[in-house]
Amino acid sequence: MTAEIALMTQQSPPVEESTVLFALIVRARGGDLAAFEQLIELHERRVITLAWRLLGNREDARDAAQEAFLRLYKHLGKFDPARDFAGWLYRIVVNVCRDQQRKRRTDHSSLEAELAAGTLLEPASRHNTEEAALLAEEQALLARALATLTEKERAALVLRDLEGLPSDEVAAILGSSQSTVRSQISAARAKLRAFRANAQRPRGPK
Amino acid sequence: MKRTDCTRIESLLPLHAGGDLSDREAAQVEAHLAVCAGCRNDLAELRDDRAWLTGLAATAAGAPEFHDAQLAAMRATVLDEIERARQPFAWAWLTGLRPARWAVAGLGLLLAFGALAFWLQRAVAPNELVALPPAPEPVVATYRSPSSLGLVIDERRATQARRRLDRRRYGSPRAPHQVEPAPLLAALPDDAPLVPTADEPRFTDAAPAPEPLRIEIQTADPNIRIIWLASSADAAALHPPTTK
Repeated sequence: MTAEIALMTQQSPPVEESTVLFALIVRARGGDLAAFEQLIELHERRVITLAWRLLGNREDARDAAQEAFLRLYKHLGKFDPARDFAGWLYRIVVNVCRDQQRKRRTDHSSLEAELAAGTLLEPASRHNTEEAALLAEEQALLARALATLTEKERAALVLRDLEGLPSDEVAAILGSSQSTVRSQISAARAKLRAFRANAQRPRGPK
Repeated sequence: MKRTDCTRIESLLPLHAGGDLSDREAAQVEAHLAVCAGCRNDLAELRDDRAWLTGLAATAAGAPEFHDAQLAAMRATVLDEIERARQPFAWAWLTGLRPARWAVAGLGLLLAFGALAFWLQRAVAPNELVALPPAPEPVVATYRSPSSLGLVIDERRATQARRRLDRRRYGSPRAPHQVEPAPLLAALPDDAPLVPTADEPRFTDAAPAPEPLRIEIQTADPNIRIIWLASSADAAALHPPTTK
């Protein structure tokens, strides 16, 4: 996909990525599977990362990402290409993760068992052992921290602080009011603080 | 500083750490922080926690590592599922589990063809007449005299049966001379005992007759006629038929 975008930018006047995205959406809505595949390539890492942050499990994240793209294709005809596609896709991912959690009756408390089993997270680097160990430790700490939150608090915190979305977008994605989202974010950050206070916090000099 | 102010401000600190307060709320918090070291310390910890979180998001620790091959496999699964969903139900179902479903589909086709062939065969010549079987030949039963069989029959009951048959067929019992039963049946009077007594003649084997007497009995069924080959001894032992 990036090659195609580069080719288009070289051969024609500068085309914004949003325009390319718009064209892909229109083609995919017309049944062009190749265009839909390019849409998936553009957003797959973002989708699977969000699913992983919400579910805390690689296998679940992959399943959720597949389901999210299937729902995306199914409902692509209802989407207005002029709207924010990323926000709409995020909403689909959040809903899929929510459904998956309810179906499997998993919550982040089960992550403790997965952490013990060593099936939860994998370090990014496989070359440097010390770096990999540190990375694994950080990921485990993040998973434990998110496990202390409720499903709604976790979704709000992940979208706001990990994905970096503004509060009004978070509210739109979650389908909640802004005051509700504020409460959820506030509670999540307070719990995160309590977790880090109990776990590890760099102590300043006394 | 009043403790109630700290309580109210503490509830706003998590949002203030992420810049999620309105301008008016933020100003109130900042005014309180200027005079409250405890709240300043709490805010610092909250900001540190959020920095840790956002920092993780930017590193590999905050995102899973998926290789290109894994992502390509996921993409292929999605596209395959979409292709299958776009096909007609039957075809999609067939291609879902190829070996077993193809076998079932083949068997279903065979049964369908068999049923169609059967129906067509029956429906081809609706006006064709079915050949009727030939009329059965009248059944001719050869009846051996009871005496030749060593049997003693209840002539009274036989006569009563014959009379019932006549009533059914002719409306009234026929005169004995009209009947063609075996002379044996017409020989006995109506009041003859049911069981022959010692004084009554019993039809036993007499001296073998050189030639049997042929007696034909027509039953109520026109297709059934009883032929009785009576021995001459039997015929000689019979009383002449009585007339009423």
